[in-house]
Amino acid sequence: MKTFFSGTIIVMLVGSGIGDPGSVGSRFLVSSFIASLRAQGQTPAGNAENGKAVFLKARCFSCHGTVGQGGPGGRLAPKPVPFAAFRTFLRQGKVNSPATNRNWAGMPPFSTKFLSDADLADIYAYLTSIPEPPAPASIPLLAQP
Amino acid sequence: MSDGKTSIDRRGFLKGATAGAAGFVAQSAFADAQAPAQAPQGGTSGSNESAPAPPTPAANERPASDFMVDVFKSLGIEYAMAMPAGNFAGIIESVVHYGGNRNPEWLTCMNEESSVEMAIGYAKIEGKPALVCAHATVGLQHAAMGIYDAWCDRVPVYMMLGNTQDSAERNDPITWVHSANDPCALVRDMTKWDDNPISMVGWADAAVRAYRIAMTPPYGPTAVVVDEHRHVSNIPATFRVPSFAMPAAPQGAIEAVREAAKLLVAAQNPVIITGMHARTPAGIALLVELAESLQAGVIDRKRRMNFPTRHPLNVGQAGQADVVLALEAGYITGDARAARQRNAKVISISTNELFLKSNYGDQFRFAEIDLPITGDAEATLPTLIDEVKKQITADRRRVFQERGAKIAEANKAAFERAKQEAALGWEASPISTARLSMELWNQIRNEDWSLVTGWVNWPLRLWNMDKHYHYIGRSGGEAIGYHLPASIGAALANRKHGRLTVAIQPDGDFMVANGALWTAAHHRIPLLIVMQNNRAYHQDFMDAQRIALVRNRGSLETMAIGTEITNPNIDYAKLAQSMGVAAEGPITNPNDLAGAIRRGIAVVKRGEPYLIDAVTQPR
Repeated sequence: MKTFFSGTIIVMLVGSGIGDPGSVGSRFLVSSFIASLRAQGQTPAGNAENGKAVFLKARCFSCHGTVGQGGPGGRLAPKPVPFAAFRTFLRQGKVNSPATNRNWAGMPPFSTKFLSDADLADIYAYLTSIPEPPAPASIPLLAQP
Repeated sequence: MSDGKTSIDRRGFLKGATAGAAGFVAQSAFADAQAPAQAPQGGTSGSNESAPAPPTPAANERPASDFMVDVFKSLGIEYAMAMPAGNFAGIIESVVHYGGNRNPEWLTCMNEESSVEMAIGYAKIEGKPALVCAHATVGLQHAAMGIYDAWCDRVPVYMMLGNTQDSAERNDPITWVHSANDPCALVRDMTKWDDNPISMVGWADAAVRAYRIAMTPPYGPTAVVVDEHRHVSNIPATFRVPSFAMPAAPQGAIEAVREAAKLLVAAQNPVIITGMHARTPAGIALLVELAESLQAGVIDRKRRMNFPTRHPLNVGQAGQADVVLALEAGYITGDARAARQRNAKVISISTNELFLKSNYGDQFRFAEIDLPITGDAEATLPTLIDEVKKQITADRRRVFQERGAKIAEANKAAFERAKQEAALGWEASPISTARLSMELWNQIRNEDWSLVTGWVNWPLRLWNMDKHYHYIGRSGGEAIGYHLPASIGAALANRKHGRLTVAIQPDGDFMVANGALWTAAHHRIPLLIVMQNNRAYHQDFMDAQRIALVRNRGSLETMAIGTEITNPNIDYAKLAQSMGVAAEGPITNPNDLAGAIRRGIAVVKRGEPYLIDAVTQPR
């Protein structure tokens, strides 16, 4: 039960849109929760190169972009959420309508039938390897008024 | 589209047509012996195998379709857009040989849906309808999706539909299957008005009425049936074109507008939501004046260009407003429900309730509005602005200035956040849609430009848009097949103004009606098309993938069946080139985009279309 609740909270907070500006309150809750997960320190080692291949094969890019920049789905990189949150969100998906337990929109759940735990670790390693983008001020097309 | 009539059929028609013309004299409400007679321009070539051969006009007669052209000219119709059909062939012939193929100029389209979508794009730029002609049976069925787009998007489209009304004149099997007793029944749920006149007198009445109804807010499509035989007959030369005047747009009642002003001036945090209130360029300036008077934030849902993107008040938090003003906002059910929960008030100025069709869901779920004002928002704004200004006191003005400063800060922060998000994936291949948008913006920003597609969101966040032609929204019906022909219609409207027209074109949409490219090449319509080629029906892929994952079945490979556009990849550049449109690509390296855009703009400035196939991220 405890695990279920923590997963649900992650889904409700993180799944509401990673990278979305959100309200100040929800951002505080998300950051607090993420901090607690970071404290758990449970990030497995993964192969970033294989993770990229799996990320593309599973078409994660379809919602999140090939470098995790976001799109219909939230931004994943750089600086992905802690692995525990990542794993829970990926396994459970985002339940948009708790009353009917349906995933009509948002993140769908990836079971082990589709992605193994090793795949998750590799994808996470790939997301972690994605560097910070250049500052907008250093990109001429974004620096102009 | 062939009706396959025999020569015997046509000869049989001659007798009836002559007798019919004689009958017009007695019927004509517009016959005017004093009117200057316009010299008949002679008959048609009569060589069309599909259309009935016209009778030779007598000395006091003229071809009915010449008269129709006079009516179109009187309405200021600049273009006729059509895939040809025999049952309105007389109109084509008269437009070209009697009207000189100017006002209207005839454009050859390759699908009736494209004809209507082109007319939508044209109307969104030019503010008035083009003429669309279509076969009333086999053409109208193609056209239906475009008509639905026009209906949902409140766009005036003016249609003439060819039909063989009299069953006695349906002399072969094809004509029978190409005829209907009530052709417009097919689209009656998505047109403002239609008519099926019997005589040319009735047609003239219907033609002018259809234009006026289409152009009275709320705008929308109208259709008039043209009888195959009547329109190639002759009519008395004394027929005159009906005169008409456009009615003023309906405005909200003054008492309600005054109450709205009272609520807005007293509000601590009013927010204005607009969807498509700016029917004309004046609508933008009016909203700027209202927003600045109140120092209220604006949420522009951009079904049109309603409010300048870089205006300091172009940001709003509807969820924190104590008064929400919705201007032709469309779907505001959720905003209204949330407002009710926090005891906020919602005012709506809209013509929605003047649309009295019920079959389709474009009226959305019922919104609980506290102060609904039925009237055209743009026409009502001057009165609302006056009332607001009358009621503002010095104390309120000070409060407004403080509020405006905070909104401006939020606007600035949103702009900076957009730039930071655009930087993500900047060097990625496939090309990010942010990079594509900014590469394009960089080369058009100092031109008089017009963006005529609305799928990619980045231009709305990062481009400086402040003119009505800078953005024309998306398709009203949110179906695919709109963007390419609508872009070409919009580019056609921009051509005479010398504007540089650009489109960011989704690939799935492109394949629905890519024959429109030939129309652009043939008629030399200058348009730069940059493909957003994500090689999928992307939304549908996400939907199918989600369902498979929720059901926990299939495989990662099978989830893409039915939704991806790969294997083989489509070569859009070659496809465009095959229709006479200069093109290049596919481009996968974002650093190659700038050169391609530069080359494309050079071609477009010479008056021709150009296509760049850019392979992009999904969104």
